[in-house]
Amino acid sequence: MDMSDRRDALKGLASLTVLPVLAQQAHQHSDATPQDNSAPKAKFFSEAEVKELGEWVDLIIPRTTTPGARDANVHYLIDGLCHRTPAAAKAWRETLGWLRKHSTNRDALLARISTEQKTAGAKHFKRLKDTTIEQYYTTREGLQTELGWNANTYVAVFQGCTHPEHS
Amino acid sequence: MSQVRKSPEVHDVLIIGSGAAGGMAAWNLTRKGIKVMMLDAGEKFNRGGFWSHVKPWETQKKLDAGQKPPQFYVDNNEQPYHSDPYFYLVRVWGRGGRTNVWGRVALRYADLDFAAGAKDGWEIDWPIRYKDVAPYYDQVEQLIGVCGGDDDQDSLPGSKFHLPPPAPRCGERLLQRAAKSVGISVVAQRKAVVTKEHNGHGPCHYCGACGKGCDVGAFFNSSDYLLEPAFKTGNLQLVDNAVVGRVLVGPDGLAKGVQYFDRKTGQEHEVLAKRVIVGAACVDSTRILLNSKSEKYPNGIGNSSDVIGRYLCEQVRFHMYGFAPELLGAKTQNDDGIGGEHIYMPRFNHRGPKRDYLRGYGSQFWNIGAQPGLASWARQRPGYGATLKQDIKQRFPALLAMHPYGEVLPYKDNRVVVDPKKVDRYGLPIAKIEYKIRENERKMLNDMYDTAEQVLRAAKAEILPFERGAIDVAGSAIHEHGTVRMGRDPKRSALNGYCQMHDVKNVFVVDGAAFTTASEKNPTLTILALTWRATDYLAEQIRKGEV
Repeated sequence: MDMSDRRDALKGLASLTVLPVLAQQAHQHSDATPQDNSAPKAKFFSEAEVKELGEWVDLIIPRTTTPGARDANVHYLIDGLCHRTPAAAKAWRETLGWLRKHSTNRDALLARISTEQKTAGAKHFKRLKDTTIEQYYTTREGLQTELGWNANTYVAVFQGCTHPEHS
Repeated sequence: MSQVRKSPEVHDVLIIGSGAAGGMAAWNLTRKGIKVMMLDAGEKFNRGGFWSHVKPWETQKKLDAGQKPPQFYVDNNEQPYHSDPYFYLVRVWGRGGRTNVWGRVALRYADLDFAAGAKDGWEIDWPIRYKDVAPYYDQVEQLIGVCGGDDDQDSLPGSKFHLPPPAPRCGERLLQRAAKSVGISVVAQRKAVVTKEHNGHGPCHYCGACGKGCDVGAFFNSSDYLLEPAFKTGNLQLVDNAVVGRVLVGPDGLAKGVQYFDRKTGQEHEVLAKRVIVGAACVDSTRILLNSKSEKYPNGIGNSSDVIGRYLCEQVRFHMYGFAPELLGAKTQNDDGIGGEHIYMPRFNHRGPKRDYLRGYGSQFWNIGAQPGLASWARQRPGYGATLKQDIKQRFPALLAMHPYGEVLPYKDNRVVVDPKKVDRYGLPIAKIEYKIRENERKMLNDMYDTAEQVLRAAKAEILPFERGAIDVAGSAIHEHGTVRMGRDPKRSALNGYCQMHDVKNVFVVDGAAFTTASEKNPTLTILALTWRATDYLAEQIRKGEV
């Protein structure tokens, strides 16, 4: 159990007197998630290429009042995906190359290819957008900080809908 | 090939499979003092290793470090099957079988289901009625704990024994209200989740990760709820990693035991028993029976009617999503609950005007509200940049979902066969599944689409694009039934109403294969009730010396 999980668990436990004894006794945990707070490293692309990728993913999900895709290391997650999966590596090598070649004005390029259909640009935009979304919304920054998701935890009573207007 | 290892011991009862069916059989027989040998194709899953509380952002880190979640699902490369067209077969080999990760929906069948064949004349009638099974539903619910409401319908019998249902999520309340406005009842879902301490099982802590296995055992699984108590009686022996090949037949035409192979070593074994209960889940049970050929039973044990393997039926289903305008931009709540939906739309199409198809459908509602698997819809939102980010955030708490399930009729040529030309690693013919939906299902799907759209429109939902008529791949409901069906006529069915073979009195088949029809409902509660009933009958037959 890592510290964040332990905090979640303790918060849950503190808010109740009631997490039944049986459940606590029965509760066991999988192997602790490895903790590595060091800066991520490129595994498939070069560091320069990953940095370039970070600029692209941040155009899809930018930093606002909450972290963007680059803050969430989505570019390194895509690099890891390419490291593990030859098909992804091939596809992303192609996409990064295409974007680089056509990127004299990135904003204008995205504005154009985001509305195209069945063109090379549309294909690469879809890959960039889809993968950025898939990865960003599985990160703590995307799911928890941006969306406010704080579930998969321990509660004694499930409240259900707490909106008076919907009760 | 090494020599077959034969055990001289003759067991009172041998059970194949440890899921809902096998587990219930073992539990009920061992508590009556009957000695049981169980063969399971896997091992006990380590609950401490379940990834129930692994956050989405931790998963890859764990995998990169070489950690693995429990390997619940059978690799089709290990135990192949063929299908044409494609049929998605999900198998869990290991103690508890699919109950380790099941959807937990626990609906009682009604006479609308049991008497369907008698009413509409399609294929055969069930040999039993609700009154025969009702006492067993009562007992099962008291034993395992099923939460639900007291809002029963003629198509969904109620229970005095439900545990408290979880509170609905906001989106579920909106859909209940919307459905009511168009004359459709949406009730509290019935699920085998322990919402308060029950028979020594601690309650759910609402983490919503039931699909990864429950780390506290707060929903029914055969291993914790049935096998562990059965072991305590001292009457249960269990062999892990025992992949059953055939039921063996004696000179008297009765089953005398089974052949199995050690999954780790490939060693062939024979074990003897006076009675055999088959509960390996529909397709694997069928494969075992069809491979149990002998001079007496040239097309498989108990198959003089040639129905074994035929009439494979399950359900058609699809998914329709939308966003509730009232919830756009709402503060994100914890919408986990008991995992999956807290509400259910029972069948209603038998009321009102006559439809142009037979049988019916209900609907489930999982994934409503703030759920982490949002990429599937978020990718479809237009644009990019800060506008897209804001758009996704607004919609995150507002997701509505409907997942209607419709009955697939039993058809003679929707079937499981064994292919002697293609064998598994033990040299035994593998299963081949031939299954397709027909005109009746397509007509029903039209109605199902109309209803889902009607309910979502009544909720004023912004409906996500859908392709009308599209359905999930066959098998994805994971509710295979019907291939060893029960019936009154031995020429048209393989089992009697007690799951006992017409042809071979000491063989019982107790999983979904025994069902005469699929209905639109999830089958596990009924499997448990029918197995309890069948093993009460078997125990009485043993006491009388009749089997």
